[in-house]
Amino acid sequence: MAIDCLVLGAGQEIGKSCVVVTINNKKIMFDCGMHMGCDDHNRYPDFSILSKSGDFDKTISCVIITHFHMDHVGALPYFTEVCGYNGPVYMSYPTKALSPLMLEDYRRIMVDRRGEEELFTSAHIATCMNKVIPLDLKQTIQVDQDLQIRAYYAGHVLGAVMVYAKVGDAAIVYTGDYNMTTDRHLGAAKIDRLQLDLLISESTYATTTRGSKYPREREFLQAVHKCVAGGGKALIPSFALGRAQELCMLLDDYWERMNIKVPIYFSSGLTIQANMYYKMLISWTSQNVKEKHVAHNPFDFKNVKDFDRSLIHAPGPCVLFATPGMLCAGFSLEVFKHWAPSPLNLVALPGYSVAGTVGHKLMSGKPTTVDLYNGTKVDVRCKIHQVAFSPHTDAKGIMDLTKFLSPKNVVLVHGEKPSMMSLKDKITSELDIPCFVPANGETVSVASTAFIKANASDMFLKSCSNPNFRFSNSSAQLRVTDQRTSDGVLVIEKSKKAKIVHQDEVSEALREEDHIVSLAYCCPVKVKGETDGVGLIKLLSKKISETVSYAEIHESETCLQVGSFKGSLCLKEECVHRRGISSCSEVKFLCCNWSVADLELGWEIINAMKQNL
Amino acid sequence: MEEANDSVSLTLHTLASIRSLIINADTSVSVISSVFDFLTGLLIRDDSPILHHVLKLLSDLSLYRNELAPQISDSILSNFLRLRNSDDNNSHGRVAAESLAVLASLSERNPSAAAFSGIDGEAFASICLGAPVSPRMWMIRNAERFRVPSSVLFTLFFGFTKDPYPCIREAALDGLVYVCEEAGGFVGHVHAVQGCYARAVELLDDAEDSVRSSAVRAVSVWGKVLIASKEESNRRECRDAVFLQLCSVVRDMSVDVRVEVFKAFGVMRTASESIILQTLSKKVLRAGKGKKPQDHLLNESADAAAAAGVFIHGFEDEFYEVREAAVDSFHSLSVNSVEFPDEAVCLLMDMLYDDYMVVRLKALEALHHIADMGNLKIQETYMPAFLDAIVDTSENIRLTARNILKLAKLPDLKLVNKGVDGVLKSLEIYPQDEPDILSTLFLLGQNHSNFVVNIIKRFREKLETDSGNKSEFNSQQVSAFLVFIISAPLSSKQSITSIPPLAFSYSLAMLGKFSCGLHDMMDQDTLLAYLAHCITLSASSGKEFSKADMFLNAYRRSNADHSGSPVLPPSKDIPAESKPMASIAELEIVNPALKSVDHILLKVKAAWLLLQSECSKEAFRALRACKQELATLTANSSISNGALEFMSQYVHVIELLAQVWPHFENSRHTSTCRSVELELLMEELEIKLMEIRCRFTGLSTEVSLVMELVILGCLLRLYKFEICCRLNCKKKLSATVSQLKLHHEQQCTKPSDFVTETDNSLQEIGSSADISSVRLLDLIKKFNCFSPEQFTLSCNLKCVSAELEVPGNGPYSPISFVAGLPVAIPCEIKLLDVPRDARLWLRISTSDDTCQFVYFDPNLYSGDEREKRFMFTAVTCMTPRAVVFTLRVSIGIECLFEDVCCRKHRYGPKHPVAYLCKEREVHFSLVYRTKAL
Repeated sequence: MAIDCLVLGAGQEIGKSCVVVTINNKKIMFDCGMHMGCDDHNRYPDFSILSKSGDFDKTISCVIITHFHMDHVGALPYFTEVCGYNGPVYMSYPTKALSPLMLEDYRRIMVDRRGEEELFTSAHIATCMNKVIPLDLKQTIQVDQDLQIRAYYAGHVLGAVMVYAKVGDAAIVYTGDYNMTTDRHLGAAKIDRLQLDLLISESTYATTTRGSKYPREREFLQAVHKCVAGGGKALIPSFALGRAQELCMLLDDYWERMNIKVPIYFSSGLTIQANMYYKMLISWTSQNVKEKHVAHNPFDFKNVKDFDRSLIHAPGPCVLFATPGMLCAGFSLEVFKHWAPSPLNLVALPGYSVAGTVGHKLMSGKPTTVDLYNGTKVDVRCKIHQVAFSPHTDAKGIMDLTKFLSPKNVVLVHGEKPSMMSLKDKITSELDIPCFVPANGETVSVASTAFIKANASDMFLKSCSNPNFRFSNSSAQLRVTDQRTSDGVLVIEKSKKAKIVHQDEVSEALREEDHIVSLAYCCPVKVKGETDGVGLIKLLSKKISETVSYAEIHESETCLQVGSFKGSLCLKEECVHRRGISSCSEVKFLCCNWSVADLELGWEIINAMKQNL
Repeated sequence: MEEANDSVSLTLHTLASIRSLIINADTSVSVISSVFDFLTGLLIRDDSPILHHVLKLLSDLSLYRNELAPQISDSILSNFLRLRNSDDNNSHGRVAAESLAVLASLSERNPSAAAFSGIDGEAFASICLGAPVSPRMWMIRNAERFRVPSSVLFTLFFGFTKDPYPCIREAALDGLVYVCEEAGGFVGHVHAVQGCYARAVELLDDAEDSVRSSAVRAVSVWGKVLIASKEESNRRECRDAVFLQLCSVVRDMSVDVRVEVFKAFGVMRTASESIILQTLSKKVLRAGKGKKPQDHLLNESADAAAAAGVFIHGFEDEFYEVREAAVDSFHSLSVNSVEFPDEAVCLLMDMLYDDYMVVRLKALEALHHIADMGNLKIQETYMPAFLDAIVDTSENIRLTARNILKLAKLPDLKLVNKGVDGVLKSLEIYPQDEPDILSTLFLLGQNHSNFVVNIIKRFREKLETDSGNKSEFNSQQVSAFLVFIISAPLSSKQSITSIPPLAFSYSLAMLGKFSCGLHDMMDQDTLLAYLAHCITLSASSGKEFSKADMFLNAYRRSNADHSGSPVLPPSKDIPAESKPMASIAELEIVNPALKSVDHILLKVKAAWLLLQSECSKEAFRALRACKQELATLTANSSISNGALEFMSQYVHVIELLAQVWPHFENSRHTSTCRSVELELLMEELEIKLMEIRCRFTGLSTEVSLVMELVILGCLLRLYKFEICCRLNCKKKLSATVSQLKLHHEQQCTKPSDFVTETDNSLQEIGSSADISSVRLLDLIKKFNCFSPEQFTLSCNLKCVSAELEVPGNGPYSPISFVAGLPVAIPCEIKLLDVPRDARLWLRISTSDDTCQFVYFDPNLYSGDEREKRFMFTAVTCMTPRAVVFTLRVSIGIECLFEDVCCRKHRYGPKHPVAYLCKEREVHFSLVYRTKAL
């Protein structure tokens, strides 16, 4: 059996996440995103690879969306409504609640502002969302008879999950985007230690190692504080959901602590609505927020007000959160145009900006003028602060998660190729786990686990009911093993079901006779004078009872027996068990044999007899 | 089949009604006893579903009828033994375990009925192995109740770590931890220790959270045993390996595991410097790269990179339990590593913003410790965090934050101002903190005296704005400012003149408040003296400066000796041997009695300096306070009675000197009455010194102290007194000086300047009797017997003392005598700590000071024991012709070292005598000859 992992998007790049995994003939699509940086047909994953005929319902068992970011959910309405997929779609409750907002917002910007061709309509979004089955954390869902899925908390954004999927005995985890450290409002990723054949992990920051978050927070607060203390206006362009809430919580706390009276504004209705969702979805936030919200909901920001367009030119300091982030379009860009020329003001850019946006230009240097999309130029005299906040885990986090889960294979997606390569080397060399970095359209196949069912015999079951320890002292340390399972023997006969029997039953099961290992030695014994056979036996028996104290000796005329040890006078000239000693008159031979169980006893007796020589 | 079922249900029904009988207090004894018989009868039937109920009922019965408990326990025990001996052990596992449970709870409930005193290891093991999962787990969890040998427990627990059930594995690991920690330090063979550690390490990868967290505990505990079992040279490596092993699970997804890991770091307490540094940085440091301490145990190499950023992860954890544990373990690691980088401090400072009080408190405690080691530099970035802590709602946090501020060194005026503001704000919000806040400001002022001028400026402004409103004058703010300002002269950096005298006089008005706050630095008397002193100095400013310095020096030195010692009480988790340097001062802190003795000595020193600066009244007061304080001290293990006695004698001598002193300070010519007074004082002083010298045994460093005092006495006498006694005095002086020199030679110590100078002067003048008075005065002024090394009180200091009693004697029951004939006085004598070579005398004196000495035969008190009691009959011939008279008796010890021969009596002692007890009056009355019948 094998697991096939087909990467439709986010292979060696960031954007349009879409991975289709085939486990034991079940195809699961993880995420269905769009690329924000592309305007052409490349914006969507190439679904045609999946099915030439376009009958996705038959090929795909289910679609699972990890979180509401456009690069993870953006292509979903297209896939369900335009491509015609009608199967189950799973996402967490918050994702189901917030995705329509994001999709609608995006559609509006694309269609209404830029006037592009409409790829899906509002109605598409609504009907698409109706197909969605919500997931709760750690809830195991039986998609069909064989396929089980379960969601784990991933941090990153509200409602982000990692997904565990199991078909038969093969299991995988698709992480989506995740964060291994907690931030102001969200917790860190949490997952059980699972037996995995494959881990598909994001790798946005495959080579970055971030330090403590506290200095970063402090720097940001100080920059903003300095700006408003100097009478300036601080613009924080950010997405409506996620960073905006985190930074706002941070600022709200700080404002409280430092007793600052400068107003904080949120720009659009969307964000206010988003805040409402955050307030409702407290169970998906961090431990800290959960515990605090009993007394005061931390998303009830005390100092935050709605922004009105007329306030752009109002005098006095303020802080403004405006969408969208990256200063790519919309209101944030408009405000930027007005505020950028004043050296008092500040633009704080949280997180990543895609190349080509104004945000990217600001970050990549200190430009004096910036070209806006429509050709106008803006003087940039304001201060630029880059906030190194990211909801993605860093390289160490990826390593830590991989180490914790210890899967049999790792596939990296959602990252830039060079850094992914170096992380791949690291995983291979340090953790000794095979790691793959497929590009878009490539498929990785890995072996999967398959267990064989076997019946157990009654005797084996009985012996299993009680512990059976064995201690051994190997390489200078005490070791313990439980013999229960090692007493079992797996018997597979042709055209019969496999069976485990107790090792004592093996011979019976195989209809074979037991073999007993025994040792034999023809022992020379010195004879004094003319002692006959009987006398010699008597003599030896006396000797043995002197040296081997615990031995119980039985003697007959010409032989003697101690436990399994048997010795009898050997009258043959050439005995096969006789070694190295030729017969002479003064030496008689006692042909001995004994079983392995009495190994030491046997040698002891022989030594005793030899001393008689 | 039908019938069998029926019987079971019937019995269950019966059992239920039996239960009601048991519970009912009114059930008659006869019924109860038949119930008991019935139940014990059921025990024999091997009907395990019923047995479970029967055992429960028997346990209930024992609870309600205590008198039946022994019988119940007997019958269960016998049934238990029967079960054990039966062949079919397996099916009885559950019943056996349940029987044991009942037995154990029975024996714990009434320990007197010791029918059940544990079971042997073999039985325990067989039940454990035979029983199903839940009784097995019960057995493992309750193993400690059965007094099973540790070796058996170890083997069982070790085996059960292989159990397929996670709950059993967890219980087994906990059991291993228990065996290691509790069961009398069972440490088996090295192989066993290694095996156990290795098994625990294996289980760090267990799929079950609870097993992993138990495994972490086991790794830390057995890791420590393992480290201890290694040779010294390998220990460090082994410790690092264990530490890194723990580091590798720090990113576990389970909160419990992470908490346990950080607790385990606290248990480990230390690791190599490079590893500790690595724990503070997520980036793999160069020092850590390639350095791989070999993990000998698993033949794998543990990489120092495993430790990368451990504490960063811990500090930014989502769960406060983890953060708390991380800060706590960070603290114990920082205690044990000598060098701790600044970045570590930054990390800790960030924790001051934590939402949880516990975490903030722990962080502050750790910072306090770092400040205590002198490593804390508070930067501006972190000042707000501190100021927040100072006005925190939690009292503990405020206290700890202030303690840090007491020790902190702030780099510039801005921060000092901020600090003062913060403290003032806190004073406003929490007036109940005032005493400690004052003490904080005092120390803060002392540490930042170079900024005091600016603070004075602020103070002036404050005062001016307040002066309009008189009632505000006594406000807390003003007192807070004052206490800050007046501390400045104590640090040498600041000249006293820059402080307006006004500040000191205002402070005088707040003496009570201040001394309450500063009680751990100086008492009210010292503070008063100090303030008074500062007033005169700052007003006069000039030549008297040297004296001020003396006072301040004295304070500073005493502070260095005393309050300068770590403020932190020795943390419970730091064993004494692991401290880098346990100085004497630290050890003394542990003992409150020694601490207070130290304190008294410092006060004496301060008093002496006060005396020097002509503040004799304050000095007297301070000395009296010392005496009172001494009186409250009681002898204990660390300080002997003798030492206390020595202290009080010593204080007394200093007090006498203080009384003598003004006579010398003033001009030479004084009135006769004063000179008589002086003469008396000097005599008393000399007698006291003599007493000290001969009454104390076991003196070591104190010898030089006493001798110096004797020398001082001689010098004083030489300076002040008439020519007649000069020769004797000089003789005594040179004798004492040479004795002291000899003493120093023997002890290989350096004589003080005072002694050397005196010696030099004596050699200069040679045999001529006269020393110039200027020179003498000079010498006297040099006297300063307060160097701390003279004050280490010997612990075996013993004071010779005696008690004398004349039994049955009193004014109304006199001893009869016949005039002119000798009379015997029966004395009951108790001697304490008398050295062998002492010569003891009984002195019998009359009211007109004629006296008679009776020598004690040394055989009377030559035994080895400390305390000797004996009867002694002294015979005296001093029977006057009187009807009644009294004699006074006392016991004296001859001072053999006093060379001055003052032999007045033919049979008396050849040397002066020091008295060991109070004089006892003995009453005599004449025997009337009764008329003959």
